[in-house]
Amino acid sequence: MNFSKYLVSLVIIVMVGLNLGAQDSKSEFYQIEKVNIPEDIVLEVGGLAFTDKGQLGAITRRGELWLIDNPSSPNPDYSRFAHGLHEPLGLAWKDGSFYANQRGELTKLTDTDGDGKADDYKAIASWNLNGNYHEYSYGPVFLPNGDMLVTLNLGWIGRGESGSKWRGWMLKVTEDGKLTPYATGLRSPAGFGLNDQGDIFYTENQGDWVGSGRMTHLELGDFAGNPEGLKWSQELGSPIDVRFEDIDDTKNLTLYEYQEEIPAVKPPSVWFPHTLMGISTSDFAIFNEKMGPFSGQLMVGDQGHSKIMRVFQEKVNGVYQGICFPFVDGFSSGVLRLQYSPEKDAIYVGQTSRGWASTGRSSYALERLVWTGKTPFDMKAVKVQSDGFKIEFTQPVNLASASDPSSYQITDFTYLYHHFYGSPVQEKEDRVISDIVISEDRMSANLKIDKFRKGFIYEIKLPGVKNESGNSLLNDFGYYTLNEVPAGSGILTDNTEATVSTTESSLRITSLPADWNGNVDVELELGTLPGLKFDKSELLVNAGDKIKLTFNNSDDMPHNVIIVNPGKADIVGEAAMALGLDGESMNYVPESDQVLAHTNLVPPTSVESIYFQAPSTPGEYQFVCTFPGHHTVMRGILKVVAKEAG
Amino acid sequence: MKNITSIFLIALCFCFQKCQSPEQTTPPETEEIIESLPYTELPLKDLASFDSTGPNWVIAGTVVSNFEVEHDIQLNDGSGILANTPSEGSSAHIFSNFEHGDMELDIEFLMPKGSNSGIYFQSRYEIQLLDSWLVENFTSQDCGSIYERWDESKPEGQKGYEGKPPSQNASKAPGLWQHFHIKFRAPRFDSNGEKVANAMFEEVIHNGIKIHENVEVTGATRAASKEFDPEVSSAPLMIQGDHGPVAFRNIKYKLYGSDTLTTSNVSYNYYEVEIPVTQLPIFDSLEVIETGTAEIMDVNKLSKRRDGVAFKFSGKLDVQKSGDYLFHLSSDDGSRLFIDGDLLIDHDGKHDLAPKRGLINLTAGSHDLQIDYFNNNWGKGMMLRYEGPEQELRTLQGLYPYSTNYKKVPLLVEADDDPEMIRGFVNYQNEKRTHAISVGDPNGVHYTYDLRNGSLLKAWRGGFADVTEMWQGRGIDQLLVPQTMALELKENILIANLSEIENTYPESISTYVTPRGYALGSDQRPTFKYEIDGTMILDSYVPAPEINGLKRKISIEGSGQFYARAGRGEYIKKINENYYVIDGSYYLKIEEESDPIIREISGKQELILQVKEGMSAEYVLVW
Repeated sequence: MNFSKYLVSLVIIVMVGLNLGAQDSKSEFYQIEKVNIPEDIVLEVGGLAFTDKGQLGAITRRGELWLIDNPSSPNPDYSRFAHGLHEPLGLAWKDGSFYANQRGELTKLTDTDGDGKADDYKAIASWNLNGNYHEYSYGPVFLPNGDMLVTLNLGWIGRGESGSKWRGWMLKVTEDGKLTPYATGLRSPAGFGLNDQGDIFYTENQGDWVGSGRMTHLELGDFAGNPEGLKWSQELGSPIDVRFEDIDDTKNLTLYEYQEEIPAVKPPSVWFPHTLMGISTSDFAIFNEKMGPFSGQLMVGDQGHSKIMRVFQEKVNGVYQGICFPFVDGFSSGVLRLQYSPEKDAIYVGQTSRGWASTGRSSYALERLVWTGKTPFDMKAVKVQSDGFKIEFTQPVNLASASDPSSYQITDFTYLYHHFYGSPVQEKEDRVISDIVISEDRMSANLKIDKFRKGFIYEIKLPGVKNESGNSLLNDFGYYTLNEVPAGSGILTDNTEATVSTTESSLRITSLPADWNGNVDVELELGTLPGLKFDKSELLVNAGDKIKLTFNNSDDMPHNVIIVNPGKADIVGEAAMALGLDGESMNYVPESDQVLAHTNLVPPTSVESIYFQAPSTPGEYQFVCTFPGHHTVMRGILKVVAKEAG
Repeated sequence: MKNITSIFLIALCFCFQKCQSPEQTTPPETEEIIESLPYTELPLKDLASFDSTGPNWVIAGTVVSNFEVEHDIQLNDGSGILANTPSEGSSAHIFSNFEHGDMELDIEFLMPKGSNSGIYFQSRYEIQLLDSWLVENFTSQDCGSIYERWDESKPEGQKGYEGKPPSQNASKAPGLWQHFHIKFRAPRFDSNGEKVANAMFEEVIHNGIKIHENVEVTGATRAASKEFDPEVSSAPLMIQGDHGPVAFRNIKYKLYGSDTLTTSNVSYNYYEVEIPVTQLPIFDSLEVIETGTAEIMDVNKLSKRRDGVAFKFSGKLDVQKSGDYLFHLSSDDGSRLFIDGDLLIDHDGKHDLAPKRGLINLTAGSHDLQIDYFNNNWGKGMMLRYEGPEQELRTLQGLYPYSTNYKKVPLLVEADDDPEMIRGFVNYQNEKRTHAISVGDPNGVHYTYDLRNGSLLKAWRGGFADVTEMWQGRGIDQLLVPQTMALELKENILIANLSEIENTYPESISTYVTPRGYALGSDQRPTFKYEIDGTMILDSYVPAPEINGLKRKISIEGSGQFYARAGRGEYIKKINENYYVIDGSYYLKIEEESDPIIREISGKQELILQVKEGMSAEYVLVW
């Protein structure tokens, strides 16, 4: 565990930009406490819910529902309440029964004879499945009127696919099983629910048609971007008229711009820039006053980065938008579910990483997040103004540092809307800060900038702002998604045409070098296995060999292969993470003497071949994927041996 | 009954189903292309396929065997069944007319209670046939074993050697039809007649369970060793006749020789096309980026970039033996196969690796081969496989592009103390059932049930569930597999409200029945619930250990009169007081007072039982 903590803290340091005078570790403000899990229970949490008696129900991907008594005690008791469910990924409790979504059914689980075990497994509603493993079903989430929301994940066949009715949709379900389609365009909607205004949001993962992780305010009939669900838009009950065939990604537009083409398009309220914030957005919960000075804001989990992010949203011209900040990282496994304790003084964090590796290396975990009562020096909120942003702080700022324009950096960029997996960062520009006004109580700063571009994401960094004790911000950056600008803005400009940038690198040779005279000494093949693995742990070559390496990425996420000097995989991997907004366009290949050769970022189910010459010095060189979050696990040895004489 | 081709197909279908893009245009199929070259069926209308034998071997139309009576075999006139009815002084073996070397045999057999026989490849290497029903400590004498060799010179107890028991006992009850699929490889000899490779059972599948894989046999097994030494490269198939009655049907085989197809002088033109591209380009209008020669048409290695590539491969196809060849062309994205300039397979359009086939008669000699290929974006691959006269399915050109070397640790679930339920996908008659529940019982009798159709899909004894494909990694297949041989039942629809007894059952219950889930009883066993117009249908299963069966009970709460369909098949026969046999596939035990009705409808026989308030349908399945 020490090893992974070390890595996590390294990541934090890199992300925060090596602040001098930083506050103490984040655990001074928020603590992660383990909930003990008996050794013989595989608690791959798919859903969490408390009963009215204060028992914590934890439903698992292996289909068991465990009741945990006194989960905050050192050794809580576990008893199996139900079992045999098909990979349930949601749990709710209402009026004496649990409700859980299996892959193909919303099921109500009741203990009618009081023996502590469910004896009634009632099918509330069921839906078709195509038989694809990626057809996950999430929920339910209860609405105030007693109806439920469920979401249905797309299948995966080398791309997201809606192979059975209502895949890619959010549905409403009544207690008596009536299904009503509500919104579509969903790809991997693991987290959804209501904000403090009672509005429905869902979170999304980067993937095909989805440039990056995001959250979207869903209203009846919205189309959130992935067109697969539109295959069912002409079915009875569909609130959307847009057809699958109507979506065309050859126009080089962003999702925001696509609203002009298709009014049902709903751009996200908040983007979580890929790898800079997280990589697989999951559940969310609303901050209350017992969880810190952020009441009404949202905690948003990230499975792959084993963390929780923080989101502040505001409504501008009737449209939600807002900013995400780092919040707490270092959970033990992949953060999937967030559930308040009955006393609302802690968040239980249900975790799993099976098949979907996470920074936290445990295969599963259950942890509690508590607030220590201390307020960190942080950005509390960022609100858009007609000519810039108002940044609110949790503590008064030091006037000199906060008035200095060099304490701030603002950069804006956007993502493409297309059928490819993810999107490179598009049209990145640095903004000019023309004026800074600090409020009288020094609790906020008003920044004027040179330009607003709607549909863009504003990276707002405050490396130089200090509080009165000279501390830097605990988290000195965030990403504000600009959908709307208050009336009277003088700095709003039209978007320019999106362009795709590519990079050339001398360490990536993709055709046979002319001076090899047509000779290749060794052809190596490298593939992938599910769960962030290469299919070979070692490749053997002779010193100086002319190598053709073919990397066959059969996985469902992008990877690269970087050949590095012995023992340098960590350094190169961390440098790749530090590339920030430039990471993707640089294929996560940092400029480093330790890099000997590399592929580009190879999309899912794609192949790339590179040519390079093995080092002349024998040794155990490494190959590693430096896609953020992968380098600690996805690596192997390129063993270079001295060429035998003769 | 599936040969390796269709197994391959199934595998591909799982990975790449639904890959047709809407804009794809392919010419309408004029005829349905077969999935595999046909087996040769042994005609069983008389004994003409066999060398002369004793009167103990006969041709019959049906066979019934009372599984409670030793060696019972009751034959009716007709054809299609080869049966052995040995008696004192009449117990000859039977030999095929044909001789064989490498062969694939697909055969069904029926063992009466306590009986014994054997299938001898090249008259020498025996796969044992025996009534081994319920035998737990099975040996190399039991059904499916590769029988031991014998050395008289060794001391007692050591005479038998090299016998190989099956990996599990996959036997069904006596009197039921069982299935073997066996892939046999003959011994090899050099030009001096010296043996250079042993005979080998590459694969033996017994009732769907692979019980042997690549087992070598160094010489003839015991019963054949006196008559049939030395080993040879070709000899008839023999079935043993002197150890008891036995019946066979659906005997099919493929003989394989040493001929192959090969390619030579393969050259390629490599092109790059602007994406998106949805079909093969017009090559003449394109600049050739590279030309070259290649042993393997490996589109991944030969491409200079990932997206927007196209190839025109050409070369010679060298045919050693004239006859019908079936080609299987798989590509991502589109491809076309030309032989002697004629288009054989048009697999154009954007799609994944699912194969398309073409059948052609080729004469021995050299033919022109041309394959056109393109990839729009993402994964690419092209592979051409073939099968031909006495030639098994092999890859001719190209490569399967994805890694297949991922080994998994099996994850097994048992029901130790209480029944254990697992919902998951299951394969049933070559399709995935997505709303299935499998129930393991501490009594050792387990079943899989379709919650949407109210139908029992499978039943088995022994170990419960293998969930490796569900709980390891992402669980890509998401399949639950029985740990042992499972009886796969024909669709036995839950219940119907047949207002007239002549009415047929509907195709599915989903139009008139609402599944309501299930409730667990005090024994923790589920009772499945369905609702029809306010009436609740209850469907439950308990092991019947006294007769090694699984008992089903269907009852109702509410009004109405229904019929449960307990069995459906080509034939249903009563074999003794309480037992019925369905297609020779399994037995139903039904008490007399249940008043079972056997009716003929739509060319099938059905066994139906009345269900109303106070009267449930109950029967026990035995297999």
